[in-house]
Amino acid sequence: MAGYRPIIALDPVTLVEGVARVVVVTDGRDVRALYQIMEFRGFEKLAVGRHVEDLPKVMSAICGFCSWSHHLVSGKAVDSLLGRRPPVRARLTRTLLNYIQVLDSHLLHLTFIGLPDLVLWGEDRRDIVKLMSKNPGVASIALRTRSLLKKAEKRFVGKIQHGSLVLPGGVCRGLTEEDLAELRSTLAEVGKAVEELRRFFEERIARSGQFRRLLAREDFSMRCYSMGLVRGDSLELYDGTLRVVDSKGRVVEEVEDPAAYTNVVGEALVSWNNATLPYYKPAGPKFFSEESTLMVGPLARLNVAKEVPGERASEEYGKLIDAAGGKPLSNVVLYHWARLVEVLHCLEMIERLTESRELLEGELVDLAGSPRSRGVGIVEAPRGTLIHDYSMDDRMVATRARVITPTTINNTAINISLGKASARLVEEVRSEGRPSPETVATFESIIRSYDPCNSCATHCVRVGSRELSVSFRIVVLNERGEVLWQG
Amino acid sequence: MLRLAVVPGAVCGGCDVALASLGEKLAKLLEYYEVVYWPTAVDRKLSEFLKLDSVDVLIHMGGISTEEDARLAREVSAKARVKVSFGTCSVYGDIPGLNSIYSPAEIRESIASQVDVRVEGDALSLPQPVNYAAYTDLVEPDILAPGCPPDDKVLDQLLELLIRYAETGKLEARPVLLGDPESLCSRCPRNPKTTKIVMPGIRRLYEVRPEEGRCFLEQGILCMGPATRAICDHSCIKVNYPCTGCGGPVEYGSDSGLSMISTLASVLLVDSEKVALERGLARELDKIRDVVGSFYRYTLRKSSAYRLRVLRRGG
Repeated sequence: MAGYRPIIALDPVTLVEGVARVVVVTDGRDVRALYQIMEFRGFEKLAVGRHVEDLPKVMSAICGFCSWSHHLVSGKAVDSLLGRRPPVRARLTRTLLNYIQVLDSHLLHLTFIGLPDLVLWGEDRRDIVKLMSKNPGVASIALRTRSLLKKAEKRFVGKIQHGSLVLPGGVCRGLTEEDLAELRSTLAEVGKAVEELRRFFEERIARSGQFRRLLAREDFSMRCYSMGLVRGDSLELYDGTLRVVDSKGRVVEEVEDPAAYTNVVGEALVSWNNATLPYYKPAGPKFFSEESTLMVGPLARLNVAKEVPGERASEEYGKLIDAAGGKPLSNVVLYHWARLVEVLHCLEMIERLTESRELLEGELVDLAGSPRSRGVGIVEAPRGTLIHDYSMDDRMVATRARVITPTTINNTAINISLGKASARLVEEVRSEGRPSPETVATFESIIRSYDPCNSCATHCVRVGSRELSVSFRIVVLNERGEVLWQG
Repeated sequence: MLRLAVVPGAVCGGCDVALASLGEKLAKLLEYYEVVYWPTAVDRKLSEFLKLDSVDVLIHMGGISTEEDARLAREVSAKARVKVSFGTCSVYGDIPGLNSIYSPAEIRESIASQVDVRVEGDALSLPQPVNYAAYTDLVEPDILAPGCPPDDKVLDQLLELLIRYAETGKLEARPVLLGDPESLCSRCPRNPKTTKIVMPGIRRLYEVRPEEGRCFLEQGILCMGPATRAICDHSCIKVNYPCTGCGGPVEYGSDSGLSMISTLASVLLVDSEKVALERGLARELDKIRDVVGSFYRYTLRKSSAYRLRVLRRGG
């Protein structure tokens, strides 16, 4: 297989701590980093045999962080199986919840991971606790917005995770005036916190020398294909055309029919990882090469879209592009900034939706439609394009399920990014006996930029919890598979 | 200060979020306990935690899907004075438990059969997957806190118990199953119009527009409320979605699927025996094409159905 040689003599690796680990391997000449996801669940198997109308609820258990995204995308796949089109009110309700999911997740990530990572560069500890002691104001933003959004979530879908909303062809409950009034007052509070966050980001991060230095670093670069939904040329999170642009920013794919994603996304399964390694299918599987790598998530979404709806979001998007020196955006540190753009976008879109009468009136479910054997749903989850692909029999029972999550898609890119930083790591280990703190920090930053959710990636993985701390360990092996260093 | 550890097995993260979202209530608990391990919240290495001789309270989350999960669960449980099985994965296996009837090889093949390229032979090892199990299959916990994830009612009860334990050093009858000792149905806000529920037939959820406020069973929709322990404030029912049974059976050790099937037998078409015969009770029941997912979605690993299968396989 082009560009990939099996790595041998690595069997003695038995140390397992944490949920994911980075194994750096070298055969004496090449150095390669393998981001291993180690937990194992397999929702593809347990979906088979289920009543298809139960899948949105069953599959949302894949992840306790983005459970709504799985709930919604599963609903779209089931709509497609049953040939149904949800009424406007149902579609808007689902869209609204998707915005809340993305908003909530991005805020959590920015404050728990993104800000500490960037603001505390060079310090021994870069987590929320340290941020709390140094910048208590901004650190408390997450706690404030979290409790506000949690209340709204509980009100709309009954629970903060694994809630209930989607029925085939619609939703089980419509929102009321009171729901929206409460949401508007929540948003006003969240909006204030977000403005604090935006200002902090601008003053303390975007303008800092450290951030500019990171932007110039080659090991943070990622020149590959970007994929995401668009509506026209605009950023879209719930329903649109699946677009792929290449590393020069040229549009190479526009997929209208979700089921045709198989022409664009290929998946490879290797024996050293419980998550697959996806690639841009027309380019073929070139492992550990940017030439066939697909990137998804906030950064990729800003590459595929030309506009970001929302006044404040659009303004922030402009600033980001200026700082990056134009598009396509090809430095993974910009993921955090892209997240901020999307936070503003979500806020403004939710504000618009809460003004819509259509959210309050009309049918909730449309039962009409002709069932078919296969149905595919695609949404943009917080971390990127999320695909559920099901088949069923004539008793409306699932016979096959395939789930491709954003973290799975980014798995290839994460491996390549870490590979870029690995040569230096191995050099340091060989000469000094251990890597420098700067190099370890680089590894952490790369992983945190992508915001991997390993629960999603193997449908899956234990990591849910680690999403907040992104705990992993680095192991360096020589060509005989002996451990040179671990930390 | 007592020592508290939160140890995840195979989790989705929902239980972590539920616990972490407790805010001030959690702060109250932490007046009594020092968190010696909780990967979500505390930057403390597992290796350091494993050096401790004992912990006072262990909160275990998630199921057991690899040898590593099992080894860790056993090792830390042996050191814990009070073991809490937290969340339905840990107590009953939950939705991932639907995979407990398959071997790890069968599960991996369901993924592998759908990819475009397979590369075998790399020797870099992964933790060995095992047949999926609940934490309670390995260890006998002192407190069982079901819910997917545990809801406010269960969380409040748990915090109260743990605070009382910290103050008195005592825990009453073990194991304690949290939630209220009644079915979710018994205090349902959708009081059925008649004292006796009559189910007019079976309607699958894709066939209906559920009415707000009316008993789901009376609409022909399967609702696990009668067979599920009251562990929440009717979260799903309040947003017009039938209970799917994430709280597990009313009593620990009983079989919620069998309870539900017995409930169905007593409410389905009971008002119209003659008509029922004509229309065919069996035909109505045949509409349920997924018995496991309908009745054992969260509890298959602990069910009699699972035990029968294991017996049949000679396991």
